[in-house]
Amino acid sequence: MKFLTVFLPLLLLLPLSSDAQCRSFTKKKCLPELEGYVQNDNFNSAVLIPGDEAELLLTFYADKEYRLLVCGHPILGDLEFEVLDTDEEVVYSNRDVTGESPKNMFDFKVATTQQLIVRIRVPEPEEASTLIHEGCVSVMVGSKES
Amino acid sequence: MSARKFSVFILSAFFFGSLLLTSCGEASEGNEKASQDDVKSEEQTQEVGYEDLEGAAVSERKEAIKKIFYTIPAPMEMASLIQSSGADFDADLLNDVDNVENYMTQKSQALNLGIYGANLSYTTMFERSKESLFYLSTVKQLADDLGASNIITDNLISRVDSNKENKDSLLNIVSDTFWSLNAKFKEDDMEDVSALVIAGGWIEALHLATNHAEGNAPLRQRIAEQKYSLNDLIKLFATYENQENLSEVMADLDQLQQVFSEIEINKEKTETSTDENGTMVIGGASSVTMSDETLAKVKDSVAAIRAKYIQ
Repeated sequence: MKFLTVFLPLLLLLPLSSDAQCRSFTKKKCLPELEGYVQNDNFNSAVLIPGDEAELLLTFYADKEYRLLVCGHPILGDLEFEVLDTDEEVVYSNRDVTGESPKNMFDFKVATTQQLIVRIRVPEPEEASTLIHEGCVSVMVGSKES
Repeated sequence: MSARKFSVFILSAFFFGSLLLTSCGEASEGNEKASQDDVKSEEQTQEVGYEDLEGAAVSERKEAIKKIFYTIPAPMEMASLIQSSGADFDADLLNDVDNVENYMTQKSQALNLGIYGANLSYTTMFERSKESLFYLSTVKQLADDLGASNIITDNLISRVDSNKENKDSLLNIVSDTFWSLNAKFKEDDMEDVSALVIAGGWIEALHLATNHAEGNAPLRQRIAEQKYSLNDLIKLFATYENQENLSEVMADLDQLQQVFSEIEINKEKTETSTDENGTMVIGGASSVTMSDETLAKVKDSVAAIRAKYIQ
């Protein structure tokens, strides 16, 4: 029994399969932030490491309100993301967010139906490390009528 | 060996085996540097907290990648527009729940899981609780057949039953269920199944929309705008090359794209503004041109594809 008490917490530190845990992580830590919106039912999650990029392409309909949520495991640090139009012109960047506003979500309305690209980047650590952490990153889109 | 000794042995083997795995690939690094980095990494891990390690691990990958998600608007969004445009509910447009017994292959089960899912969105949006429960049970049957029996539990069906008068709760439950199914298939390396479910749902939503489109300008516009989503769906399918399950559906989508190529969408430069609450509004002039003939062709093509999938 004593053995289990000592070793079980250590087992939690071991490299568990984060692929299998991405859904659970997203459900617990990300989904609640879409409250009030109907979530898109595509599962857009991946296990990423520093330096990785992810892109999401989606059609956004006119006269709807959207919440874009870029939800990453805290071990990856603050994720950077931009919203671009199909000409690759930046419409929004979370680097421009100042003050208390959350940097992991973007609430917006769409006046004209269009495709937008969401580009996410996992920041590199300031100092290189031989141990690279990977973590779950989920891109979620919720919508509601304007 | 006693049960206690056995469990100690298993735990020890797992622990030390995992330590070995963790250190793989680092042998060529200097021991001193590795040791300093390990300390740094442990500190980083501790900052996050042991209880929050779910969804994180030490990576065996060193090279950065670029992951692309092709996402399709949910059938719920089309059902929402159909309902808000003043259309009447039409049960005859839906796939009969009794047909579920005909779907014996993984491909037909996946496509019809998407089709019944779109039907469920439609019945839920029109607050047809009795029909919604039938469709949810049918969705559960197909999800079970596809190995996702832990998503639609008896508890979830009870929740739907007890919330049947609360449309917003039901919409959230349906969205959450299909999101969980999509996640489960991807986790289980059944990405082809996930793509088929999405395609089935998209085709069915378009079938419902085209059958309500007469004299309905907002719906006509939304049908024309599916040109964007069809392109994304084709790109999604193209990421799974040589998947036998997907090739026939891909051919159907290619054929449909030829019809959609008759629709002209001209989008001017994107413009942004802010509304009275400070929320960004993304716009820019846009014009969509779809003739009655093209709408009829879209309707017929979708009907033909759907008829093949639901038989």
